[in-house]
Amino acid sequence: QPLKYKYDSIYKWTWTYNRSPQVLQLISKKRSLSTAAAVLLRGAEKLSKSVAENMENRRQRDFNSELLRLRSQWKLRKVGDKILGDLSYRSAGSLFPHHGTFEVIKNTDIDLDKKVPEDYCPLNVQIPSDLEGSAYIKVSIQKQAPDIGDLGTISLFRRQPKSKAGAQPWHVKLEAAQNVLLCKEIFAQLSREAVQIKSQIPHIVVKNQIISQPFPGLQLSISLCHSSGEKKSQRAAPEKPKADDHLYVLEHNLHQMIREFHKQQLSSVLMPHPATAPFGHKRLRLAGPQAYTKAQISSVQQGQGLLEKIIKQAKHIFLRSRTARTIDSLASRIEDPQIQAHWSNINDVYESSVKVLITSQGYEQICKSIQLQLNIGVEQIRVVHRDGRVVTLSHQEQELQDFLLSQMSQHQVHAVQQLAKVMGWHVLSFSNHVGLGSIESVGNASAVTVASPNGDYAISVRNGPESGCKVLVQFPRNQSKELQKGDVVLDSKWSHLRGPYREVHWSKMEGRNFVYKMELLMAALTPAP
Amino acid sequence: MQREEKQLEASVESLISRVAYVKNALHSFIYKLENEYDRLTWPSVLDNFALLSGQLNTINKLLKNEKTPSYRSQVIIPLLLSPDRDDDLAKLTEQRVPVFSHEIVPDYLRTKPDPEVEEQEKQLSAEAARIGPEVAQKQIQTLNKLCSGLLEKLNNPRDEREAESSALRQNKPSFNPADTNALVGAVAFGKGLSKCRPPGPVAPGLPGQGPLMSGGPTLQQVTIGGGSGQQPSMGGPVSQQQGQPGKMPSSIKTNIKSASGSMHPYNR
Amino acid sequence: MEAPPVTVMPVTGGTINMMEYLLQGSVLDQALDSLLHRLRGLCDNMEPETFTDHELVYLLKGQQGNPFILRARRSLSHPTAPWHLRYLGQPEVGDKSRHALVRNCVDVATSHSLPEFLNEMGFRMDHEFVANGHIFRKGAMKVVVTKLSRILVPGNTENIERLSLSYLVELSVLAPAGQDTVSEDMRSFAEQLKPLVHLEKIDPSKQRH
Repeated sequence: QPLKYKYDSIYKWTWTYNRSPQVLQLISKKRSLSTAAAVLLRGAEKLSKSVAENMENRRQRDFNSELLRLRSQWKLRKVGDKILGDLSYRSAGSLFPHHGTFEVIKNTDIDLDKKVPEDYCPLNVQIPSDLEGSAYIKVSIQKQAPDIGDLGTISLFRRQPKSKAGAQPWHVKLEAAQNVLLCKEIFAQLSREAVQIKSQIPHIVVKNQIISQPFPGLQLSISLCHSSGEKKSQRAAPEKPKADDHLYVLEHNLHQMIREFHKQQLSSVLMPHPATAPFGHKRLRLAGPQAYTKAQISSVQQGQGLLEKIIKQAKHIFLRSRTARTIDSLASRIEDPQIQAHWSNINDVYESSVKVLITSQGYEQICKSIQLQLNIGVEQIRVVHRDGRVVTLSHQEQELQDFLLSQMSQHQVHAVQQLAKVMGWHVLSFSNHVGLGSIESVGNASAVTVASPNGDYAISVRNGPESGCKVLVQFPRNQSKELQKGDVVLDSKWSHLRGPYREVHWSKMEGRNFVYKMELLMAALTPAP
Repeated sequence: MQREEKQLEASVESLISRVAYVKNALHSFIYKLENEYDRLTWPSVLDNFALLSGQLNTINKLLKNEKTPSYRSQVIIPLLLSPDRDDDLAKLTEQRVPVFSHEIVPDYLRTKPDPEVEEQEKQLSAEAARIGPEVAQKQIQTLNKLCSGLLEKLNNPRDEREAESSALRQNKPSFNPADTNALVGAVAFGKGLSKCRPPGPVAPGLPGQGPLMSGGPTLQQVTIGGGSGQQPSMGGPVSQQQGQPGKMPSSIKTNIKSASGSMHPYNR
Repeated sequence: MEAPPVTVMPVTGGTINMMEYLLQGSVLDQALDSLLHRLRGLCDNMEPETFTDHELVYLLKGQQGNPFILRARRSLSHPTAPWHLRYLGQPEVGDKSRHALVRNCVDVATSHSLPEFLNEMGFRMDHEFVANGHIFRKGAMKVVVTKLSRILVPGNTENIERLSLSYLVELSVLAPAGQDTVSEDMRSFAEQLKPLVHLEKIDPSKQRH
């Protein structure tokens, strides 16, 4: 009743459209779709713009992008909900049992209200506590052997390693930790060998130091210097004055050798052919079929350990530096003849060579008979003469010095001989080692006698390393006052023969060196035609 | 006629209720917008819009329903107009239409669409006329095709889609257990490799089987013999077995004979 | 008095009794590449190594039913390498919880006169095959991916025919007896190769029929 209030529907009538509803629908649908699509597109555009902006701003600060960067340089894996990484050298072939695992943590202690600090990094790494700080291996040689109790002081780390600009803090931290791990591995290997290997003078391993004596009176110490945390070096180290006795070459070589060892572990020489054979060096597999003797087997097996190699290298370095010092001190002490040393540029870790020339100044072309090639090895020096003689010297400094002194004295005499040839004088006699006169304490004296071109005069030289040189001139008889005319010899021609000797005051002679003086003497005794 | 009237009544009633829903939704939405605008979140606004659009959809569906008679063919004619206030009407319309007078009738009983809507309709029909019937038809067809394709893809059971993506993801089985067994058998005792046998295990055969049989029995034979224990077949001319596995003399073609009990001359 | 049967005495090569821990599986040809890539990543960082071997299996029939088996293997890709003689014992039936197949193993490198020597000793060759593939290692673990081929003409290793369309994958470790941590490590490594390959303990005696 209330519905049909005061209005009513009376009749029906139809209403038809006279235009096609489809097209209209199409148009209206198109319009509505386009408006809706426009809204969505606008929204999407805004969203993508804001995301791109955000990305730009936070590219360096985003945890995930930082993680990607970390992943490109370090091995990471996901365990549960933690991200762990591996900073050990195990994938490069190391067998050190340290796990070397570090953990990646999100850095959430940033206060978004305050300004983000410049060096903010959203990623932090947590390294194992025993790898914190930094470490290096120090190798040094000391002359005197101090008291063993003295060796407890380990030099703390003095300098901060400079980090490359732009390196991420986590990278620096991880690299430092890896370095610590490597140093520990090197030191562990060295100390293990120090204990196992039997040598004549046993090696001492004290805390972080290994001490051995390559030569008596010489002490080689290898120490692992590890400073953890941020502590600056506290003690003005007693090592400080010896700060420069680091043998950087040896330290570098230690690193190289352990890496070599790693590489060996991964070398394909260990792979078995045929495939079912056990792992092992392929040369050792031949031991059975070829019936190797025990000596052959031990020669195939791993050669020397790290420690022995380093000691050998240290010995060589020491020997080489001492040789150089000896030669240099001789060269500065003795001016005539001159000693020159030409060290070869390319050396081995166990062998170096130097060519020693003994010359007289001004007469290098004439007097070059003493040329020595010294091959400095690990414990000995081998000297090769120009004429092929080989002499082996031990590591004693004195031996080399004495040898060089004797060579120098021989040189003088050789020089006279060469000079005589040039000047036209005849060599009457020559001896490298005369058996006459007083015994030299070092080497032997040498002597030469030369006669002038017309035979009137003769010069006789005896030179010894200790006794110095003695020059005598033989005059013809008619110039000598001492001789009397005898009754037997009547012919005057006999007076032209050479007669008595007179010594020359060599020190008063003019001339800056021996050969020069000799030349003057010869010139004086050669009368002008 | 009765039926149609009844239908009309029913549809009008349902329409009224639906419209009432819409009205309520709008009412609450406006209230929220006006009073709680500072606490309002975009998702809740979206919810409201979604609700409204859903309700409008229902109304559309209702109108399209075949049971609904065409309202176009109905005409409402006012029978009585009076400028006096009508309380009942007021109550019915919640105080919005207190008087059923000449002013309100043209607005409330109009059949033509609102002026704005009329304007839009005019524009649309102008555009429709402009593009021409063939072009329009083509466009209609493309639209229909696109929509049907989209609908198909969306409507197809989700499992199909998932099945094909998972098939791509899922690796085809990368190993075959039967092959594993065959290979292990080949490596362990030469199943399939023995030079004079066809592949596969061999039934316990007569002695002397196979032309290239050398003195010693092969693995297959012996194992089967070992398994069954009755007739270990031994090829080769050396010696006959005695059927007692425990006391078989050696058939090795060497001069080394083990001092077995059965060979002892004084045994038994 | 009967001589004891050949296979009952424990066979040792020297002072240490070595055991081989073994897990086996296979991989189809199509999946070989992905397996190789995965192994390359998981195993030690070395250049990939391939091998071609020729194995001959020799039998010596003993007193009892089971003959004595020796395996002689030579490398075709490294002809100068020594031959390899191997004895594998029966798998130890220990506790079922052990994850890998454990058996006694003796490995000997020999000279090139091995086949004649074995023939003179009384062994007879039972079968031979050619194996080639790739070999990887991780620490002490060895992973071998092998393609087995049948030799059609005895003695001719060129004329070969593949045995199946799969590669055999074996994970093995040689260790002295008594180290059970080895099988744990092997199992965790095998886990990392799933689902490409299922490495498991396959009892060869069950494969006989």
